[in-house]
Amino acid sequence: MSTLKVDTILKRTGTGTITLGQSGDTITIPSGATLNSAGTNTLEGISNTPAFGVTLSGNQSLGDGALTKVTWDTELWDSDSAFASNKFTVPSGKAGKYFFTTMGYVDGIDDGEHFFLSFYKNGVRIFREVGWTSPSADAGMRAMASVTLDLAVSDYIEVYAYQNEGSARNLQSAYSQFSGHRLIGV
Amino acid sequence: MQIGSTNTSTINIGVSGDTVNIPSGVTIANAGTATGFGGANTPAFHAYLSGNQTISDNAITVLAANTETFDTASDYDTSNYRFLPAAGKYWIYAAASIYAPGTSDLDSAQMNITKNGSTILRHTAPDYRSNQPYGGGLSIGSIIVANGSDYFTIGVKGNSNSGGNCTISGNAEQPAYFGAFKVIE
Repeated sequence: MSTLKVDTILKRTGTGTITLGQSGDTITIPSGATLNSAGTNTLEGISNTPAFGVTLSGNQSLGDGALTKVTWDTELWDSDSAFASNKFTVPSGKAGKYFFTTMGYVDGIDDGEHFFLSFYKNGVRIFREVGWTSPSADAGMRAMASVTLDLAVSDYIEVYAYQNEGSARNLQSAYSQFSGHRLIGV
Repeated sequence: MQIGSTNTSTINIGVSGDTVNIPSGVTIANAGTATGFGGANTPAFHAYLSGNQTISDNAITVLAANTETFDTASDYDTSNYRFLPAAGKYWIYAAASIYAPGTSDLDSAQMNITKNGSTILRHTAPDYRSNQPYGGGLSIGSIIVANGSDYFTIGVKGNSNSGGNCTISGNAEQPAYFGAFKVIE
């Protein structure tokens, strides 16, 4: 291995792009050395992306006694365009642990009936998240849940809602949201 | 200029004690993998309650999240259900489904984040004393500051109208859990 001993590496003429390495190389900053960035860096691994947040543009009707996929139709943010068709799909090269939160609210539930939210992974329910069993008179029911999941590329996550009031009830758009982001180094 | 253009190899920049400066205005563009730059959401853990937990009526009880799905730094103790991380800021989150002994019996319910045994954040469910449900879900989340010796637990309370003990549901679908991850600063 040859060693290039210099104090400063500059563009040969003017300013521009200085490239270190090629595909397949490893550029090592040895233990004890400091990489000091006062400029801009886009190093993969420093941002909690992919990240997304979605909500409803209007109330969504939930049928009685059935798990209903929540149709999140309004993106608040979507760093990698990974949210589409009501689900978040792990993009290529972005496998890892993700943190998700969802919340929802349904009113007019009574007589011991239920409202809850569930996370689905690849079409299969993985968590029946916290909801409420209603009192004897109509009341609003809120559910909020968070989870950390270890996901592979192409895994997808959806949210389903359930209520069994006896007739359709609305998932209220003003109180419903689904968001997630990748955790780094976990 | 290209460094490392003829072979696939390891390129070392600097040695111990060196500082490699990226001047202001310079951009490092990376499409590969970078590690060890300090931007990690660790320590982190997630644990859940594997079976039902009975709690005394109207008394704050530590959530017994006894089964870990991961714990990057072994900071969570599955014996006393405490999270004791290194100093830093953490997002702590938890949830639990709680039920009264009777079907229209739950007057109120509450979930707390406690630090060294004292409540620092409280979520109280709606007051249902005139219209009691059987049970419901509690959830909580917040950024907290740990000093390296602080420990955190989740407290849960259910107040039944009958005075009987309440139950926190626990199973593999994780109706009750406790987790945290470090916030990158």
